[in-house]
Amino acid sequence: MDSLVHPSQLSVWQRFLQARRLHRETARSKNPGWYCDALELECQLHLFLEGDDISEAQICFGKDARKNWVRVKAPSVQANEEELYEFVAGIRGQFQGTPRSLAVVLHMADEFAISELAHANERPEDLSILSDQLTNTPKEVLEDHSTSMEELSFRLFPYHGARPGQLFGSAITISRRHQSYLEQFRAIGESMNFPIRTCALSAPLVALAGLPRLATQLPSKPFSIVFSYATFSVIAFFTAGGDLVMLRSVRHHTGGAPPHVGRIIQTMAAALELPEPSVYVLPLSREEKKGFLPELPGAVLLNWRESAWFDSDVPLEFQGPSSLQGSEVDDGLGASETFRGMAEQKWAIQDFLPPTPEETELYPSQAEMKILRYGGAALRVGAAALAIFVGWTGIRTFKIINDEAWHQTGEVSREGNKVLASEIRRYEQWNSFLADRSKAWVSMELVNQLFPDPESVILSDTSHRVRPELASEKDKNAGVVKEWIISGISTTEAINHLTMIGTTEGMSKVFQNVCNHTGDESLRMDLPSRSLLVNLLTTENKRYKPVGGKKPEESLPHNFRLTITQRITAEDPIAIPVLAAP
Amino acid sequence: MNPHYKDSVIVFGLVAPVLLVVLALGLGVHFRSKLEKTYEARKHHYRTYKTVETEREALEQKVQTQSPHMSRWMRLFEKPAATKVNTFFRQFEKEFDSTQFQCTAFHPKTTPGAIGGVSGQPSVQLHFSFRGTFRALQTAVLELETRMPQLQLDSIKLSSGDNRNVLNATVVYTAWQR
Repeated sequence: MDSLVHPSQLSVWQRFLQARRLHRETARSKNPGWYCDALELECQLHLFLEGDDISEAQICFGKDARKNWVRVKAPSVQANEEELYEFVAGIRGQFQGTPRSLAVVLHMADEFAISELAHANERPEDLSILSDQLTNTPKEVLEDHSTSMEELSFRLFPYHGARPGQLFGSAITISRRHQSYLEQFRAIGESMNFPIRTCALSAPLVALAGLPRLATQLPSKPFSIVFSYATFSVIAFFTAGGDLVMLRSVRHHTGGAPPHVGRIIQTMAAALELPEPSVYVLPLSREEKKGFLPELPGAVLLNWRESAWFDSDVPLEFQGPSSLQGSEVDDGLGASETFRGMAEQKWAIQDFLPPTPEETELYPSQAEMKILRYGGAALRVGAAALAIFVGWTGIRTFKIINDEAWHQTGEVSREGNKVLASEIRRYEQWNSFLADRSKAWVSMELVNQLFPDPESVILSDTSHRVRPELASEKDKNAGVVKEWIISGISTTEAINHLTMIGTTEGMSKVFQNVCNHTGDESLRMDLPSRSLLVNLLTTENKRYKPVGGKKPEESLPHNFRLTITQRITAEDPIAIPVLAAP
Repeated sequence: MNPHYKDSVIVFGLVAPVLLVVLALGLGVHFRSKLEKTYEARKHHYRTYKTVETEREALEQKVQTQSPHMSRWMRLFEKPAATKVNTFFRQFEKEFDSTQFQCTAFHPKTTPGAIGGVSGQPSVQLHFSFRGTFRALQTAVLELETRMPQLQLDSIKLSSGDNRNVLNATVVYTAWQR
């Protein structure tokens, strides 16, 4: 990974390129370990710094409150980056299924100082604001304005047992001389593309957080505990309810704890109005020298290793962060406001040497990494969708341009069809004009068929008239009315015959018969557009002479007049076209 | 979020890719839709073309079938109907004795009437008078009407003559003109 440039020195586009480079070349967008707090990681390397160097190093792993501990070779605070790289590589190699991340937790037991807060007697409502101010702009809230933020790190530690008028808290002060040591670990993590999160804790504060696990050894009256380390001791004063009233640090001299520790405790207890507090000593130094322990008559030596909760082979401080978890600490000492505050607000496990803002700002946050990841995924999905769409469209386009219809761009002319249709209409109209509508020879044949015996009838007049019938001027065709009027004299047999056929039904049969005989369709009577009306009028022939009649009109006894009317409507096939043929 | 990276990552890492993809897909869909519309139009055009072509084939076939009839019908109008009828009866009279068939009168009129009067198609009326036997008269009009289908009978009147075997006939035709 090439060196990164602080984003404030880059253009907007260059910032994106740098973020995308980190997204592509590191595991930051995939491994959430990069953005977790050190104490939340599953695999943690705890280092105990006392005196000039690391005196104890153990690795813990596991997700439960009780973790598994493995002692490892302690890396020196003077080690260079190369040596630390080998150390970390060695640790990663020790685990099956290499851990996805590593927390380096530095327990600083080499120094402990307390700075006074300005207005320390006036407890603010929201301690978190004061805590942020103390972390970021300590000069604004410290009594001593000459303090250097470049050299020292400050964290608020509240005294929940303090009464009004007493100090509500102090600024725990740690030097930044081990800042670069933790920076090296983080840099190694960057070069290994392996999340290494760091955390620097104050060892006495973490030890303080573990006290609820030793509650059985503590009294139910005011007490004080001396946390003893190689180079200093921290004295904590508690009320009967288990709330912290004050912390006081005592620096050891070359020969060990100063002899006036007992007097300090008595003086402080009196000042804090704690009557005759029990005094306990908790030896926490890894250096086994008796001189370190203060000589306090009547003081009780606390043995944390007797507690079943703690692993006696692991320093108390290493187990301190875990001891704050779990519901069992909510009883007894753990129920006091001091320890509930430590569990909830994490006062005891504040990181004194976090990455500098410049270092933090160098890298995009987890949210930005997620955006890059999801944006990249969206781009890939979109590109795939686009490729599928282009492919699909390509195939479709290929099919389309190979379709005969695609190349049919010429004009569609219906003119030719119109001319042809006009020809057909002309044919049909002429066919209609020339239809067998009324034929003289067929009418004569009809008369012939009406009188099958020529001897029985003498026709005087026979007329047939055809006339058109136009129902409306808008009609395209005109109906036809055909009328036959036949009159003459006849025999009684002929009259009987005429009477028989002189009905609509009888005459229809005669018409149909003539139609079949002549092939003239105009006499068909099975079409709904045609109707027939027959009227027969017979009278006695007064000129008839049965005997001796010489003239033809005297030879037959009956006169008759037969009127036949055939009506053909405009819907009939032989109706007359009104319009001229085109 | 890191304020130094926030805007650039949101703009170039999320908004720009999404916009790019949406824009590309949008353009693709637009052009695809345009192509489909053009194709649909051309398919419609092609279907119309095919329909017209099929119709034309059917019409041509029909016209081809009708063409001989039309030609024959149009030949009917090459000479005036009155002339043709007159010629026909002159010929017909030669085949019969004058006692059996005789055309006694012929009055062509130039104005339409009866059937022809109702139609816009040009027509004339032809008035005839005959004397003859029933069979001779029927044969005469049968041959005439068969040869000249443009003749439409308006009226016919038959009456007995002095001789019982001979009829007097008055016939009126409408003759269609082209």
